[in-house]
Amino acid sequence: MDVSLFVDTLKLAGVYVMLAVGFVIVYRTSRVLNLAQPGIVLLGGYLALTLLPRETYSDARFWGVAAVLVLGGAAVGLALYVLLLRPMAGESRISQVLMTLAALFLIEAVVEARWRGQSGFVQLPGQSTSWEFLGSNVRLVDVVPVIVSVLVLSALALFYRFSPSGVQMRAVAENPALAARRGINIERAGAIAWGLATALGVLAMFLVSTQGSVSPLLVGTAIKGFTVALVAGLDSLGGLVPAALLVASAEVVVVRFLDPQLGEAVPYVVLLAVLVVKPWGLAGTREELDRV
Amino acid sequence: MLELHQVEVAYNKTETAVRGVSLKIEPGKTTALLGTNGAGKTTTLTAISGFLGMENAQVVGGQITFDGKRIDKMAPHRISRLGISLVPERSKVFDTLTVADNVKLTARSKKRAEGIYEEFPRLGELAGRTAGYLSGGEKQLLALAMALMTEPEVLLVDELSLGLAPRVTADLLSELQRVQVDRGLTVLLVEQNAAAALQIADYAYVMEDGRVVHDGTPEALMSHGDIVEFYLGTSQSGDTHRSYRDVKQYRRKRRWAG
Repeated sequence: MDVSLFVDTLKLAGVYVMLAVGFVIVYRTSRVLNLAQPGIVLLGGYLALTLLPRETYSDARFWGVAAVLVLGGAAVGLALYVLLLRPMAGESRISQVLMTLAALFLIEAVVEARWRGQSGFVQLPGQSTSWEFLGSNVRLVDVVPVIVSVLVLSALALFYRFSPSGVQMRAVAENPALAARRGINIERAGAIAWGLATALGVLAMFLVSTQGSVSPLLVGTAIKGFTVALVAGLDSLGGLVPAALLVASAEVVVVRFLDPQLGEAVPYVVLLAVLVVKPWGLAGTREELDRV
Repeated sequence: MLELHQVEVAYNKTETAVRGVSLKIEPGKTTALLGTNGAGKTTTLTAISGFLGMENAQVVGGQITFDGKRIDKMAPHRISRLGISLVPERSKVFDTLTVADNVKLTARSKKRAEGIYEEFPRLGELAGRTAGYLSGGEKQLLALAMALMTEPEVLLVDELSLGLAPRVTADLLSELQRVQVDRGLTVLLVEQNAAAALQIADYAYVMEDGRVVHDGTPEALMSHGDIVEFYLGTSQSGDTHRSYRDVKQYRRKRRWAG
């Protein structure tokens, strides 16, 4: 049994879940495709690269920087919502999506101007830790994306099911007009969703950097997360797990047994195949397709 | 007191749906707002409860005041917190949530949420069920309970009878009447079923084409020839004219809306 194939699939699925979850959280609450999310991942990556230089690296510094960046990610999400999306309430969905696309282009331009396309690796704690498992070498950084994605999805499931804010966000997602008339502040729900989504986007960046370098190509990697969200169904957190496993397993198999160059195309092939069979995604609701 | 003074509402800043409507809703009383489809009743009620940006509607003229405070530019959740609660015509409960979550969602306290099951025992039996699977009458009851969870002073009820059997409608209206009396609520009831609404109302307004065309006590309206003919289904001679709906609509519009 090839354990490494299994481990590679799981770790890639974990990364994809984390990249996709931000799209789903925002969409569920505000019905907007947040195309700025890959920009948040990119900006977070370059800030991590800058704030964690190899020469002064320590684990304590890493955790401090990670905490600041995740909180900063939440602040950027809040700012995007308050400054760009909230004033556009009542405008068409496509206008709002275009606004997030413009925000993505702006972030990319800022990153390009500041870092000039440089690339590098974010050093991580426990990077050299590994174990022998069924004859294969399993690294700590390969297991972390799986653990983090399971913890995050579990926490979100509990949040949406049991916390008053979570239940309110489900209500806002289903019927914002009724929620507002029941006394729920739908703008607060939107702000929480955007802040949470972008904070998780920065967290996802750290998981991506366990697998490779920070470079302008990070946007493309984050867009694969969007692909996984579409495969899942866009409004379904539960659908993210099968969607991420499907995309990741197909990608790992193609890279391992066919041609590594083809790996980049696999998520989009899977997306096309799923959309042909189930246009609303694996676990999305049919009505959502009409709303987009 | 809730008052509307010369209120005008437009959709997309161009289509006027309510034209200079003035209402005085007496505290502790039930006021009915009658009219046919498209008369502007629901828009009036929604204007009182506040518009969301996404609804592309706004009050473009006049004033809505509650206890002397202007509310026509307020966000819906703030109006709800002031004590004005709407039971909407459609999509009145959160279908994907359980009955218990629907109730808890708007409860100001846990004790209040538990109290509602004593007031509406049927909802207690349904607490664990997903709201989307309730019958029309059960959904309406849940919607009423949810509106009451915000402890309103004014309850705006839109088409309680919509899509329901006459017996279910009668049960719901008597439940509404009981709640109104027990709590001393002010109720503004929008209904197409004029006969049912006039039975429980203390005062009523009749709307046509975005305007108020008649108002008065139920007794006065029920003795008004036009109301009897157009809404209660009989002419002054006592003949029934239900099969001549189109003719009646034409005559009503010509007589009232000019």
